[in-house]
Amino acid sequence: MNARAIVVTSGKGGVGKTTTTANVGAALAKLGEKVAVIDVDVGLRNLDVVMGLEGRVVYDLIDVIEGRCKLRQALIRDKRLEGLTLLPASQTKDKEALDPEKFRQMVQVLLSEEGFDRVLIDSPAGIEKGFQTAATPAEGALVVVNPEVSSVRDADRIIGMLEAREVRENYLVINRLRPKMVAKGDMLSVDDVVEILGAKPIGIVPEDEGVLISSNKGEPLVLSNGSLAGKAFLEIAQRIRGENVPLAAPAESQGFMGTLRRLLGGR
Amino acid sequence: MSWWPFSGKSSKDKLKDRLKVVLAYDRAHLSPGLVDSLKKDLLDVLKRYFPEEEGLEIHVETIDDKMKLQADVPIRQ
Ligand SMILES: Nc1ncnc2c1ncn2[C@@H]1O[C@H](COP(=O)(O)OP(=O)(O)O)[C@@H](O)[C@H]1O
Ligand SMILES: [Mg+2]
Repeated sequence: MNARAIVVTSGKGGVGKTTTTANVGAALAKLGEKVAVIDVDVGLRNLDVVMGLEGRVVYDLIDVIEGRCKLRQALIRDKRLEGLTLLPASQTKDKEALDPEKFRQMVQVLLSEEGFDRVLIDSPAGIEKGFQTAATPAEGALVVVNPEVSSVRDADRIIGMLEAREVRENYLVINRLRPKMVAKGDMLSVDDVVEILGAKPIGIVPEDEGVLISSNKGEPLVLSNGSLAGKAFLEIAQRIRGENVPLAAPAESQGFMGTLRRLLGGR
Repeated sequence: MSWWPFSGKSSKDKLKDRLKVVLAYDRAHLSPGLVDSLKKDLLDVLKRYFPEEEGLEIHVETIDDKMKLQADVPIRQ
């Protein structure tokens, strides 16, 4: 992606925006980029805990925007991963406090003066002001979608709104895919989602309990083990950087035994 | 599964069909109920002009992401 300011969004809540922001951010840093991840979910701060940086929050985004501290004072550098920096949301202040134009300027300063290669913006759910503000500085978007009816519908809405805002580099992150259900015909496949939404996929993340465990511990997946979801997030980061990593849906055919079972068992 | 001709549509195929229709309406900023009453009104008008004709029909078709309202008006010569 050419976009250096990327909003992570979805419309629907709970589909994996924060998870994606934390893990793709960590993965980009692991690949050598200097990344700032920004939590714009004002009033519902979460990115800090998912990343395990909650204990170090002193100032927040609204403090910066309203001039109560310097930008640098609010930036939290992840000591486990060189290049990864968090700018937390405010947990107490009103979301009206986030002025879109000032937010755009701040992201610009991160990219042009503070030396960041990439800024990932974790958007709040919904299509109203919070999302609109989060999208204001963005040149591109990761639209997180679960293969499920309401998420797909909301993603379509969001893609329309992004295009209306002239955010053009938009890619789908298909999250929580369950290959067994896809194989049984009970879940939309990657191809189905792509066909319905008419947008390009940049990654496919399977349902993986490692995701919850990693948030419990406050350790991005890419820092630790070789979980399937961790690998998927790393590949998304590689594709963002323009590396040519083929996109493969995680084991949709269940191998020979699976095929046999299907042949014998009807569905 | 699609290879098994007698098992009917899988739940995801049903979902896919429904989603395509829903998104077509969403994208057109139309509500399905509104289109329904538009269809009825159009039919009434057509019937006024072609009282003799049988098989007047209005239907909505979605092709890719475009929605088309089509009127079928057989006209006897
Ligand atoms: N691929 C996945 N596998 C399993 N659980 C997931 C996955 N992605 C997200 N989750 C879980 O779903 C919940 C919502 O994720 P979150 O990133 O907070 O969503 P959002 O920011 O869009 O509201 C969290 O409990 C998270 O651990
Ligand atoms: Mg979130």
